Amino acid sequence: MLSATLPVLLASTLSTITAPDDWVPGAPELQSIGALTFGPPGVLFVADSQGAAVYAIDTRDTQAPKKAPKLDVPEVGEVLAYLTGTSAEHVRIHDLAVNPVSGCAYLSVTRGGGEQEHHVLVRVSGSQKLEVLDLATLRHQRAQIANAPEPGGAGRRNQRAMSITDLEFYEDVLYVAGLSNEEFASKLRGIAFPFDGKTVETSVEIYHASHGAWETRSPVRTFLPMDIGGEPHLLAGYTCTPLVKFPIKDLLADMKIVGTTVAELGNRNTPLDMVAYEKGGAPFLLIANTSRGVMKVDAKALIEASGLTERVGGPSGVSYETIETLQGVRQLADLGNGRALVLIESEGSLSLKAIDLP
Amino acid sequence: MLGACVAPGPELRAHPPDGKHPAGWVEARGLPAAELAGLGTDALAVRVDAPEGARVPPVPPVLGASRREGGALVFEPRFPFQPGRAYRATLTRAGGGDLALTFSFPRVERSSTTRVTAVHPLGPLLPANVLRFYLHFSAPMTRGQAYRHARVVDSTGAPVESAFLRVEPELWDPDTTRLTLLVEPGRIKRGLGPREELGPVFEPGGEYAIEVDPAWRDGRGAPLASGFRHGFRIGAEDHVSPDPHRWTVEVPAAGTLDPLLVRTAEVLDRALLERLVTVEGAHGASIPGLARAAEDGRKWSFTPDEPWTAGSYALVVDPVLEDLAGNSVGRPFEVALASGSDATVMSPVRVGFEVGTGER
Repeated sequence: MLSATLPVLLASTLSTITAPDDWVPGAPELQSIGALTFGPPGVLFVADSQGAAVYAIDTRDTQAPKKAPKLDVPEVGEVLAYLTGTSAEHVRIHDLAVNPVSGCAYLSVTRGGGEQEHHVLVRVSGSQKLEVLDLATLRHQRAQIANAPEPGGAGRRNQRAMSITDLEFYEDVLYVAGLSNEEFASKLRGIAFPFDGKTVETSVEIYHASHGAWETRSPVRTFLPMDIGGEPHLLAGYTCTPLVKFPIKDLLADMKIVGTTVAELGNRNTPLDMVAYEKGGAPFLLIANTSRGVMKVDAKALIEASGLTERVGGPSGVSYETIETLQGVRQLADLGNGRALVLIESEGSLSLKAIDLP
Repeated sequence: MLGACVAPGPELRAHPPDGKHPAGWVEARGLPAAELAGLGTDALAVRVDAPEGARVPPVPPVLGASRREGGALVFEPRFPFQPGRAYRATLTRAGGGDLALTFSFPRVERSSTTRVTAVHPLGPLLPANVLRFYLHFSAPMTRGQAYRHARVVDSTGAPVESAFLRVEPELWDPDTTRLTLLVEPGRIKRGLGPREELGPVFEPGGEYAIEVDPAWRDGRGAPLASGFRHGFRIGAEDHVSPDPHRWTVEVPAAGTLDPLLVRTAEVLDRALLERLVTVEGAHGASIPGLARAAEDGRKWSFTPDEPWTAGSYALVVDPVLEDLAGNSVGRPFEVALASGSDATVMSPVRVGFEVGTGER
């Protein structure tokens, strides 16, 4: 905790990272597993909300394949249950990331529950090639997610925790979105990689305006760095549906940012995942949602949008196209060359499927 | 079996976890030494005994490793055999005569002892824009089941749809004994689509309850000992930030270890109240002691480690402290842009008090 002479927002979120100076051999002590994203070649970032940490794992998966692997895995939940000796209802797949170097897919998976929980990383290098990584043979770095100070008094335990909803890596910085189980906040943290143990973690609170009338804050569910028109932006999908953009330079400069609300994605709906891609020389965004299907958005219009000003009932702002052929998409990952890998839920079971980007 | 003096023939045996094999193990024993030496480590495989019509044929083998141990080939799975689940072990032999064994370990039915011990805020009257509830359990719970087993019902017992924000991962404390449920913020915030179309989750004047169904599993895999219901009434929306200057402070006497008692002007988030209010002495030195927030979220007490000495003190209130509707000391939950002012307070709010000499 810094002295109270600094603004408290800063004081409550700034902290030094207690990570080691360099790679540590062996398995990280994962207390949970969740969001994934790739960073430098072969480096996979893994969120551990329960352990209040993010890990960088050196997957050693740095060889470009001669031919892109075929990653379609029908009934992947069932296959993982068979491999780990259980049944599909005891397998939870949290996130999907594709290694841009090797083209292999990675899944964060929890097997079992309660005292019998096992947190594993699964590499998919072919339709029949699923491998539960032996993290003990790899090396990792750890960055502690700063928590609030311990409450006063001996023997007191801190019940505060943060759930990490998404990770993105952009220009040597790992951005971490999450929400607290106590105060309502919209914090986005930036942690420089490598985690050198000395780097100061920055954290800002992002506000957004709803239809020009109310300024508010909300947890970020999914976000994406987008470099359009030479200006790097973060585009954030909020739990309460607005899609908000803000320049990354603001994130580095300010303690409080007001993002621009460029779209609302409709009610009873939360954006789940996003990928940015180009088609025919134009930038697009594909957004998977809890209940409104997959949306294709013109990214140029998004960046040029000046913000919502009208009150509206339904989805609004920058227009989008709902891709009817994609139903039940839970996670998206870019495969390059106009392809994406999706985790699809259908009749209660999950499958990995490679698709052409629309 | 011909007689006691004849060595038993080759067979497969399955064993539950023990000190040496924490995930359980399967052995192929009674094999001729020459055959055992020649067996590949993949000769012994275990598969989940999938039902007829399994969605994934062929079923891949369970991950694990085989090695020779004593006079047997032993397979240990990477993850523990799941009690109640059927498996099929097979040994492929070069000369034919493959062996197979279907096995399962009995499911241990654990007694239901875990309960919901409390819900905060207590009520009975809550603001219509109440933002979060905390469910407290008597023992650690299993994660990943919350939104199936906790719900809001109205006075007729009908579930209120989309009442909670489904957060993945769920908002547990580090011990998995306290769960935070956020009321869908899109239905609280004014001017957002979800509220415009579906309306708010709670209507002023209405009666509601949070219900927990007993099928929710605790950390040992046992269901809850009983279901749980927490009823409350809904009043007006609250859009005003808590103001510590309106709190009343009951100051103890110097030389005592009596608690400092603070009554807040409104019900606050109990977890935040306990964590975000501290006491400062002269020159800004933090006073060590034990802070407690009352169950009702309206009272806060502080017992110092050392007796009070006469002089000036201050309550130091972190602006992050919120009331039940997410209005923090530093900023209301929503700020009307038309007001043109940015009233966000980012530094702690101090409320001074004096500890007198001798008498109260």
